[in-house]
Amino acid sequence: MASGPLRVGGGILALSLIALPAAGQVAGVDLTIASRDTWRGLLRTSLPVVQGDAFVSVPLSGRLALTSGGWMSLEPFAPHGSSLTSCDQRKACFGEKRIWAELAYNRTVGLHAGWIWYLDRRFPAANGTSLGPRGDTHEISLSLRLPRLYLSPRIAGYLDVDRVGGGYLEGSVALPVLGNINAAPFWALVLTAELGYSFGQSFDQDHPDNPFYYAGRRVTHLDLGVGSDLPIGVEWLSSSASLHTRIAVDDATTRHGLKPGDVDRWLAFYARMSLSAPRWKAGR
Amino acid sequence: MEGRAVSRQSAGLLLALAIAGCGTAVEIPLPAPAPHRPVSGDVLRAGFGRADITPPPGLGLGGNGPEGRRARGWRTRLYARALVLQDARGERIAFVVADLAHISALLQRRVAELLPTELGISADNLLLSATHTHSGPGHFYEATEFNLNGSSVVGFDQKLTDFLAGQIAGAVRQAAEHPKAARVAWGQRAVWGLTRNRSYEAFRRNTPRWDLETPPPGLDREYAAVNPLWTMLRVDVATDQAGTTYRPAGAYSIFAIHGTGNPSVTELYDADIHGIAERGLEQYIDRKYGAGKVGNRLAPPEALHLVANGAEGDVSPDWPAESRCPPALLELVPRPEGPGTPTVWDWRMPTRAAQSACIASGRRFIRDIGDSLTRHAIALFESLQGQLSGDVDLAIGFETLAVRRDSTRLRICGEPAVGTSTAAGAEDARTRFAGWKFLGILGIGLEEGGRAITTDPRTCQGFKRTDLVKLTKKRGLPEFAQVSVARVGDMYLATLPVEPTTMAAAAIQRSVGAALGFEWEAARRRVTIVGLTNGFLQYLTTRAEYSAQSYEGGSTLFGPGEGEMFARELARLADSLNRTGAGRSLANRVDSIFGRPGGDKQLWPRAEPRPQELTAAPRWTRCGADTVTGQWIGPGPDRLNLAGNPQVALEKQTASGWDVVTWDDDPDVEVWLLGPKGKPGWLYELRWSAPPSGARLRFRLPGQEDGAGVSPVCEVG
Repeated sequence: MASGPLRVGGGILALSLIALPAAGQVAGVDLTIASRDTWRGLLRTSLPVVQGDAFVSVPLSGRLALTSGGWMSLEPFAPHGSSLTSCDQRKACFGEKRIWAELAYNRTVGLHAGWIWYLDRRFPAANGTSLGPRGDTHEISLSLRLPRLYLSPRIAGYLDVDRVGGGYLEGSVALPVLGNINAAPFWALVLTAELGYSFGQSFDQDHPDNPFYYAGRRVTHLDLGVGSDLPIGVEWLSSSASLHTRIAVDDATTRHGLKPGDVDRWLAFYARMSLSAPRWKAGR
Repeated sequence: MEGRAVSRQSAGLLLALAIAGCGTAVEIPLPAPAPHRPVSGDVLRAGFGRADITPPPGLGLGGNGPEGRRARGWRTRLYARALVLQDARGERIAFVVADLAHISALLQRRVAELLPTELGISADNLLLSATHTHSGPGHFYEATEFNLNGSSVVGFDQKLTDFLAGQIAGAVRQAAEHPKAARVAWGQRAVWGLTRNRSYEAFRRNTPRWDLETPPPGLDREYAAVNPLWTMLRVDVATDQAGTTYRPAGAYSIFAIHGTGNPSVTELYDADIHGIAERGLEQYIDRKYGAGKVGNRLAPPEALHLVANGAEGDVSPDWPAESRCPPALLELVPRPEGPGTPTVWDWRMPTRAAQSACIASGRRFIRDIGDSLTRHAIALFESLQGQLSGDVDLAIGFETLAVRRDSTRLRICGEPAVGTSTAAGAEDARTRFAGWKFLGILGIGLEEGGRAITTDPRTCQGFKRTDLVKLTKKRGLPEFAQVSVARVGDMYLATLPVEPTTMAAAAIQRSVGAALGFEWEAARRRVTIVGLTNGFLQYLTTRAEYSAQSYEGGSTLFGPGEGEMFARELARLADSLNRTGAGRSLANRVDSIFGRPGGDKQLWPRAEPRPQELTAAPRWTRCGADTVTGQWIGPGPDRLNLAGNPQVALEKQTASGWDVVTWDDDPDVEVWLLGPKGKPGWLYELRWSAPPSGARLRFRLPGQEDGAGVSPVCEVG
């Protein structure tokens, strides 16, 4: 089912990459290891995942750029027991994929308008205790970040225009806290907070077959994190690690396993470590 | 924009405490050679020596704290220049000025140890000073903290320390081995308008202020708040054995000015402003009075000009604003917002183009101010023609103060400490930490003044906010201060291992002068402060200035009483010297002292395992009217023996052949080590920013056979 769209997305990426050396585009690659896949407050896997992200940005004019990219999640450990997973079978697999594109303006204000195509995604089952069959859906998004204001506030809205419907709003802030002022290398701690709100993305009794994410129209979760860049001495590579605690508000965000009883925790912790080549410029 | 970016950031000293290393480095004894013994004397004698102390690229540039970059090449070479004076009684004093940011006690003691006893020079009559160029290497301190945060390249390097000591000792030997009959004269000249007081708000707190010189009318107050005196000892030496005729041989100067013509983003070794003033007078003397240099630009100068620093703690050169780049800012890297794309924070430096513009502006400024200072030096040098005398006695008193151990007796703080204002950096080179606040809103003193002044000044460190102490290595700061009072004829030189502010130095001048029986008018002329000598304990302010907690106050390690302590101890030394019979040196002691440099980080470029040889002929890559650039493949930095060896000679075609115009020791010539190239070699680039117009040029790699080591011709438009 996904092979067609994948081919299309892959074609977009391939064309961008072919054009890369000629027009001064910017490319980026990220590799993230996370103790579990957490998405908008929802725990989507119980075991560690490896997630890769790659994109190519084509400058249009001034600070306006068109970007296309792909994201993929690998679950290297076979799920067991009541583990949440995106895998079909109880073994390691490539789970969810996402292909995306965005039009962005980056200056003192960061404005992004995007489209996301979710592939091989599993939705919560109707009883709210497991992830159901794989499926695809699409979202359009709009976000605004003010990176040079105190706390670097960001607000983003995502509207599912396909199988789930409804929307999700997210507000987040980030605050770097200086770590080492005594000697190089310089590093900082970055404190983050993220708050989600969903509307129209909960189980609909009138349409029980519709996929859904949340239990109701409400604040979904609060995610608090502390991260740091990790000096690795490679100029073009950036690495970071972060620890998060997610405070669940919506019932769906309390679930951490397939069993009906796996809902007792409202506080969850997870960790991420990323290695990024954040801005590889063509011709550099 | 910068202010907004800074204000949203925050600093968390407390959060860092758990992570900061607070251990103690291993204590090592420093050399303690026997004090000097006079040699046999007859008449006043003088000798000069010079050694190239430019290390290979790859080391960190000291002077700008953790903002100091890693050196990727060089502009002017770094030298140690030595002058050894010997009076008729055989008393000797060695004056050495090195193109370095500072001198460490470790370096001074090591140089003294390398000198043969029969030279009559040891640690007690070796005055090793730094020009204070901020574009020289770090990594040679006996204090852990200076090796840790003296540069962005962190650590102590034994090989560099040995290299510097060996080269400096060589310069002293060269000067001391065959001194010639000499005549000398002291002179002074006010130089206004080229320097300014960068911490005027602290300066104005001084009451009373000692009048140094009367500034010209209309001079801005910051420019008037400096000691403008250029003090010079002109030295002429005999041209024959009988000592019947003399010719100018060089000079020893002291002038208060920071060596910060280059901005902190500089990536080249460079002697900075002092390098121009040194070379300027040397070239003048050689052209007017010398003969050996004519026709051979690659030969070292005959005349030498040592330019030591004076009361420069709060004195900056009048650099233009465009020569300073803003410091790095921690910002979100503009990235796409893909579903899963991580956010990345990074230190955003000014763009390469902006950095190049700052560096170019700094380079032009160095040239201009260096030329201005040279003109003053030449005028002063020439004015001393009629005052030369061979009837000059020498004497020196030297003492090592155990400033930590004897803190109670010395009436200073027992534990040295840096203030939070130190981390913000001085006006010449602000650090990336300047202006940070806790959670972006609470000031924690990373600024000059303001919250860097503690609200509870009852501790020994007084008004200094000392939160940074928790981040520093235990006993990581220096614990000894080597001071001396040297008498050369009518002039008394008070040397100390700090950067004294204008008024801190004036207070010492007054105190030493009083011990010698001088009124202020005589003291300000006959007592000269030489800072940055025989060690480094950061800055020295007056008690009043200290209360302002500017950068200099925050960097006065032993508290508000440190300035008074140095004034007392130097006055005591002067008094002892004055009471000594027949004006001889004191019976100096060279005490056993120790340091804690930290482990050897082996930062000096390591030997390449494979053989390296020239594999490609030099070639031009740009042949423009304003700049010419060329490249060649050369040995790796570990095999680059810069010391005294020209790497590239620039030649101009004349009717009679090819003449050397200059070489890689020129403020307009830069040599960059671009990196490894191919299997056997490294790629070097030459950038010459002021080629002679309309000339046919080529560059040659000395030591390479003609043809293989010569570039094609570049015809400059």
